[in-house]
Amino acid sequence: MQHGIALDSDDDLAAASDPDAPGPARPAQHPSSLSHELLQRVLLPPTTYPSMEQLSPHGLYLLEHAAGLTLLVGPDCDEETVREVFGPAVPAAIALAKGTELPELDTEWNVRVWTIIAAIRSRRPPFLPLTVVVPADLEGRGAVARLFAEDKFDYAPSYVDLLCEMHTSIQKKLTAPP
Amino acid sequence: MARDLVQVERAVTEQATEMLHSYRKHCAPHSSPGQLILPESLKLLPVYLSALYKTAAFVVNRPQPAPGPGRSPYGEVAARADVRLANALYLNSLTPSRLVPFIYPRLYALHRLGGWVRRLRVARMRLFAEGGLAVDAVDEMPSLCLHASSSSRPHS
Repeated sequence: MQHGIALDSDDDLAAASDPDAPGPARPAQHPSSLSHELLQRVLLPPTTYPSMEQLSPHGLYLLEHAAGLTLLVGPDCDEETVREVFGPAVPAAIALAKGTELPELDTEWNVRVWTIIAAIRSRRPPFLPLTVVVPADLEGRGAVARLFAEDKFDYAPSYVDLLCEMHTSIQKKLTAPP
Repeated sequence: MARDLVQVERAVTEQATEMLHSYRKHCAPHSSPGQLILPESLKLLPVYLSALYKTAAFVVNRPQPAPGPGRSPYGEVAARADVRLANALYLNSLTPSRLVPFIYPRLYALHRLGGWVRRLRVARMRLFAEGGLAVDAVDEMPSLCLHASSSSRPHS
């Protein structure tokens, strides 16, 4: 490791003298009140395909769609994560009641989720409402099925089906006599 | 729009197919006959079309069952007329950078963040010690959260 670095401020010198010291305390500011400039700099987590196949019962997902944001809580989501996000009184994801809202807590996970929500909202004005879909909310889970754009939904084909249909049509056009 | 939604979707799919057929015929004529060739700039066209057909502007409502006890008098519809119209007008007004996230949802796996984020004091020495770091500005300076996204050391 390279130690020969020119330190040009008191903060750097203090940090260098005790590199394992914890950072300063988090300011008492909710993520939604952060400036637009700061929120634009937030690094969003990697995305995955909007398909039911991508969902794990152990997962906690945020779906950004046309009408807003949906927080999907898997039935087997890690209990500690659930307590961090929804509060210490919630023993597990399956105990969350339908209509639960995301509270504003001072826990690390809650702040991180709110920060990601605020960052997405800052990129998609004017405002994206948040809906929480818990395992007990069967109607809500059915309603989000349409949001998984790569899956089949009623008359709308899945991505794979549509691609195969277009491929077949192109093949027919190519082999058709002029 | 005088045609019903199924006919509109078929017409849109047919137009997209014709675009890809023209590219295949004129720009990639020597490719394997059974291979689907998509131009780089249009390779996402099928997936965006698939997503477009599930937006409120295009989604087709199921035939409604007869009203009965315990059933909502309004039935279960995927998109009501006012929502459908507002969605269609909004789709027409969007710039490409806003259109894509509007029709193609983004799914973030939040549980996979576990263990990535560490709060570190912002000091050059720590940055070098941790190797490549992407700054996730979730907080005010100098209490930044840093994602340890690389093990490589830019300066060693």
